[in-house]
Amino acid sequence: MPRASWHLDRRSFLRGAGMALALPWLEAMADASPPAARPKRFCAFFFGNGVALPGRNQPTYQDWHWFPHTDGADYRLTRSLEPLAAHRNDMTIFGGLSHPTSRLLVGHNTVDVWLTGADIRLNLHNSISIDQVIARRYSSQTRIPSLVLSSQGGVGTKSRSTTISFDAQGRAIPAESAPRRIFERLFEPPTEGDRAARERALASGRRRVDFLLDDSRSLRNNLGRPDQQRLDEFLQSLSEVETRLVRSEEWLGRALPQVNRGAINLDVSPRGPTDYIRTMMNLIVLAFETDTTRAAAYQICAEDGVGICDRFPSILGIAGGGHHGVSHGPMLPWGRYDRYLAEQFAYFLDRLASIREGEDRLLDNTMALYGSGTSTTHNARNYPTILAGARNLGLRHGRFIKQQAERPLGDLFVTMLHRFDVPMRSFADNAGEFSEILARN
Amino acid sequence: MVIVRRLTLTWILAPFALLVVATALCADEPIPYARVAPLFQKYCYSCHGVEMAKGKLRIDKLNPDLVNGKDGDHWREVHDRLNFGDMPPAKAPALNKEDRELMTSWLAQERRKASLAKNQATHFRRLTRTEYERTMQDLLGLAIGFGKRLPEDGKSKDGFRNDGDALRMSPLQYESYLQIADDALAEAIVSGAPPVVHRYRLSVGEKHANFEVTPLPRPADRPGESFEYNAKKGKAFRIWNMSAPNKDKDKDINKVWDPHLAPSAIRRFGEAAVQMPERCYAFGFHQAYRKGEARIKVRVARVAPGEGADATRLPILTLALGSTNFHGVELATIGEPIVIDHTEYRTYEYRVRMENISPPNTGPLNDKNSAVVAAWNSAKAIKGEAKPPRLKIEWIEFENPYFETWPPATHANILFAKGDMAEQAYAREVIRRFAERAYRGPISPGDLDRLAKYWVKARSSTGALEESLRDTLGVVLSSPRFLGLPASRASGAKEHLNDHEIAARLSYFLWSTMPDDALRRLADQRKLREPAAQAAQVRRMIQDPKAWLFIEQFTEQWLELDRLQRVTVSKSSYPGFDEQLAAAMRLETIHFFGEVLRGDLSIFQFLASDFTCVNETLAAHYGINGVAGLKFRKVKLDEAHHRGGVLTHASILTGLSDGRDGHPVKRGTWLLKNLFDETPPPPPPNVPELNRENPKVKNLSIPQALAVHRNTAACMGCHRKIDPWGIAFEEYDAVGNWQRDGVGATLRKRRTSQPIDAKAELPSGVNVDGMQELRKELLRTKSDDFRRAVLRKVMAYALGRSLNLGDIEAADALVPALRERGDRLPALIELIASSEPFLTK
Repeated sequence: MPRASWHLDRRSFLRGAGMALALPWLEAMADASPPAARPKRFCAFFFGNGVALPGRNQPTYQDWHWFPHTDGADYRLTRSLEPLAAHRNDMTIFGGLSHPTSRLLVGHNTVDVWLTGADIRLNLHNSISIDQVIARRYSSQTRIPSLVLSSQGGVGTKSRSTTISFDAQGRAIPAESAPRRIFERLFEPPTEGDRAARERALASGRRRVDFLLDDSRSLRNNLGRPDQQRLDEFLQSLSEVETRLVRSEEWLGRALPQVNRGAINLDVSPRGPTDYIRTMMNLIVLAFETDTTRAAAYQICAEDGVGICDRFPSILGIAGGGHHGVSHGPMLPWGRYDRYLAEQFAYFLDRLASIREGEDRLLDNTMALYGSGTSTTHNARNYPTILAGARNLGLRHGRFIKQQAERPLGDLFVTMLHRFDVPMRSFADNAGEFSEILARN
Repeated sequence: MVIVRRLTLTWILAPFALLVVATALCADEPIPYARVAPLFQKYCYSCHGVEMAKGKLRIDKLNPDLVNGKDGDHWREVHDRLNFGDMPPAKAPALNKEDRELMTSWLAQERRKASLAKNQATHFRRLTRTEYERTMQDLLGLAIGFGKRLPEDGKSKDGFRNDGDALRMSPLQYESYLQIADDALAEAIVSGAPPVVHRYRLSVGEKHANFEVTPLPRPADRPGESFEYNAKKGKAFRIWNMSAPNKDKDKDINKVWDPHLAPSAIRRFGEAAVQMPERCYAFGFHQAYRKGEARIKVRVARVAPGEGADATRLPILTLALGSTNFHGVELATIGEPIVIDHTEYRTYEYRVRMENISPPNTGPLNDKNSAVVAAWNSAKAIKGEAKPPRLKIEWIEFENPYFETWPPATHANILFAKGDMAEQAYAREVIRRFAERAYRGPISPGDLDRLAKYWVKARSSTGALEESLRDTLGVVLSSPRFLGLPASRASGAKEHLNDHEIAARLSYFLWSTMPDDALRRLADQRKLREPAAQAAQVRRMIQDPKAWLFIEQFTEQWLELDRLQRVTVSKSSYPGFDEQLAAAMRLETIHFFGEVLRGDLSIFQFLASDFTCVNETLAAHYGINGVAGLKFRKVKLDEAHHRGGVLTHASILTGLSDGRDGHPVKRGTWLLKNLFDETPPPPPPNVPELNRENPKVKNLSIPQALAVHRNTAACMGCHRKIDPWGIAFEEYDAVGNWQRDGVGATLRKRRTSQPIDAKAELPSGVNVDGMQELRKELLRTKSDDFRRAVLRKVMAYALGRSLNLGDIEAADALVPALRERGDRLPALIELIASSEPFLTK
């Protein structure tokens, strides 16, 4: 196997690590580790304005209807999703999923809730997005908790946010859009000042948690048995918090993976969308490959004509004006743009499939969600949704799963979270779980 | 006026799910073993006895004492077999229905007893989200919605959210506590010079051009420099002058406008878009205020009512803060609306924590992404009113962060004046005072030593004294001693709570927060153990505004008011139903409970009363005249209203409907479970739900459809004991309308031609027809059951745990005392608070 450009130099790794306690898994260091111990990654790709869904009597119906015409394992991809044909066995297409409380809202709003499922009918208080739940789960095991990207960057305005990630308090997380800066943040060492501040914060966090553990133990000794069991839950939680802090401290002393700058074209701009989108995807791949982070979210195009991404179709020579204009226009140009976006997603899956992790492909350890929060523009039901990869996380693929009646997307999210060892029973307003995507064993 | 659209009317048959229950038991009189022993002998022993032990089971050897015996699992097996009807086998002598029912009822009764007895009492539990928020607010003096940052708490099987079994802890949750503590202390304890203060005034003029926002200078008596935008006028602010042009068609905004605000309301659209009220004054900042207290002052007057105006109609000032978004604004109303009855200008002041307002997105601010202050006249608009009540606004001022002194009071409350104390002694004293309040009792010298040691370490690694104290107090706010409530002792023996623990238990019971100074003082003086002193405190606490927390949470959780939100009311059947009405329904029941509690009334008012609590929205729904305004008040009911007691509250009737019709099974189950503590068993697995589309029942009325199913043998046993109670509610529709006459009857005619059938034969054999007779029957025969149920529910809430057998017995033992004290609700609270389970751990 050729040596990857970013392959770790064992000596620099150890030098940086100091004492190598409970190191998280790194492909470069542990080719022999069993698949179960491999890091699990998640990424989500969003595009706005829905997809072309021509009616039965329209001439474009057969070829340019985003959803296949029949469900189950024998579905046939239309031209809209044809670029994904090679990954058919690594992906599942879903029909009839949506967030219940948003179904009656004007579709564009769903950009804010696509990954959160929050109820924003009365006000725009949002809640945590699924990528951030996963990021929190693994934050201590990687150098940075998550990548939050969008073609436009920043947060935009509420209900047309230019980010799809929201923190635990429901605040929009600013998205990064400049490839060079993203690369530098990922692979160049922090300044001394940043590092010292981070060290201080971690040290004081450790001191506090140590104290609380002692305090709880002494309290525990004075309790009756049933009460001790209750307090044990506090103690276990605190120990886990402590473990995370310890790991975070270890990361500070760890050398960065050496990545060849030339491997990625960082001099791209959204004005050349294809190169730009692929560079952003490559950054995610590289961050996953080096286990720099395990959660990523990328808003490829915003909703409702917001931002530079609205111009992507016209730059590509697709008639109909901006992306939002295209989504209100005839089906054929719109379908072509759907196909274009599918090509980009296929590129991402190609890249993941081409990278080995031991016996497996990086794709097998990565769950990729691709979709929009509207079916056609303004219609917040039947989200176009594809879930790919993550075979080692127990997903079973190869089907178009269509619902008879609209079903909460939260069902799928809860089951996805379980695959990431997050034992949440509910996410937003899910009704249950989505065991249909799990491999039977 | 109800518009009946006969031709366009579409019938939406909301899914009607009827649970069919196959087991037969609902606790009546306790069944002694002696009554069932011969039955087991007759039907079971021949195969599971001395001569034969099929399946290695000898029922004759099973210990009939399920509480202390060890045969619980075998009995469960016997119970299941009998329930499913696969024992005795077909070839054995048939088991008649009555005998089977008696045996299964006895088993259910004994198994319940055993499960209660084995449930050991736990005392330690973490604070609920609400309790945590209130406690943090009281402890720190910061009115911030801290709880919003925590996940929602679980619910116990009895519906209570303060049940320790449902209050879990996780690493993510613990991290949130650590973070909230840091953020809260950063607000409460300050260091350094006062921050720059943003102070602005929007002046209102008669011409659009006169509307302007100007920075205000620093008042002489207050610290903190004013901030000034260095942007040109108009750049940093956006002004919404939404008063009316003098002539509607006159589009020239530079002409004279009518600066007086006519009544208007926030406008909502189908999406999450909220628009400014049609007539209002507002200004937006290109600056997001995310933290700290804000003070807003509004100078307003009423426009003198002219000739021919209705002088009793008054304008109402409403103020809101919020943010713009892509397509509208998001506004949170601040404080209560104020009725303006004066024609000279007066100033009103509002305070609000910016943390509680949803701020605009971070990032560059612009017209679509800015913070907004808005004021308008929220009096009810009456269509076609020639001279509506109007509001004059002279100006609106905004100031953030607002503080009168520096350091602010929140700081001085914790970091008292140091004087000439040595730093170490001072820090120790600060920590001690804070920890004793946070831990709701004295701190042991050992515990204090450890905290002091922690502070020393923190001090050596930080620059300022304040920072090291924030760090140390952050530990206090993350300790299980703060996050959890009183716990048992290791000895395992039951012991009496000490005075401070009593204070805490009382305070979390009735206020959902920490004890106040008065309770703490009494505890310091060891007076809370005295029954008279304790009773006096209970009475004081009930009248305190903080008791609203008990009133609201207990009522909501006891009577399952959250069902109201889960029902989708059919818009076509009930065009008048909306969110505002639903909110009013919920509040009626809560205010009603408050009235019974604070008005020293009998708990039997819940079953039948000659009053209720309504605001204008609900009064209109009920057809009660003469109620204006959104405030709830007690109103007298007469017979024509067909109301009284919670059974006729629209909140209950709607929550127990399918959105189109009342749901007798839900209503019956609810009545038994919550008012009589006789929870019917859940339907066994594999029993299908009744589909109302089924041709067999499609054309039947609900009682008829129920009867069809009740009469199948498998379901009859239990449904016979549930359905009749619910059928008696049939006089009320899915939104609580009385449907024998009036509006309810009109609406019903559109849904069905079936006559109302509220006749039911209760399990006792007594026949009732409708609510009036049902109530009479409940009062006549079930009053002790009701007393017991309320005592148990309050006990469970007061203890924060699912009751075990001892708790239940203690609650039940209070029945005679309650009767003696006229069944008054405050007396009931006193009895619970002085009961053995409440005072021990």
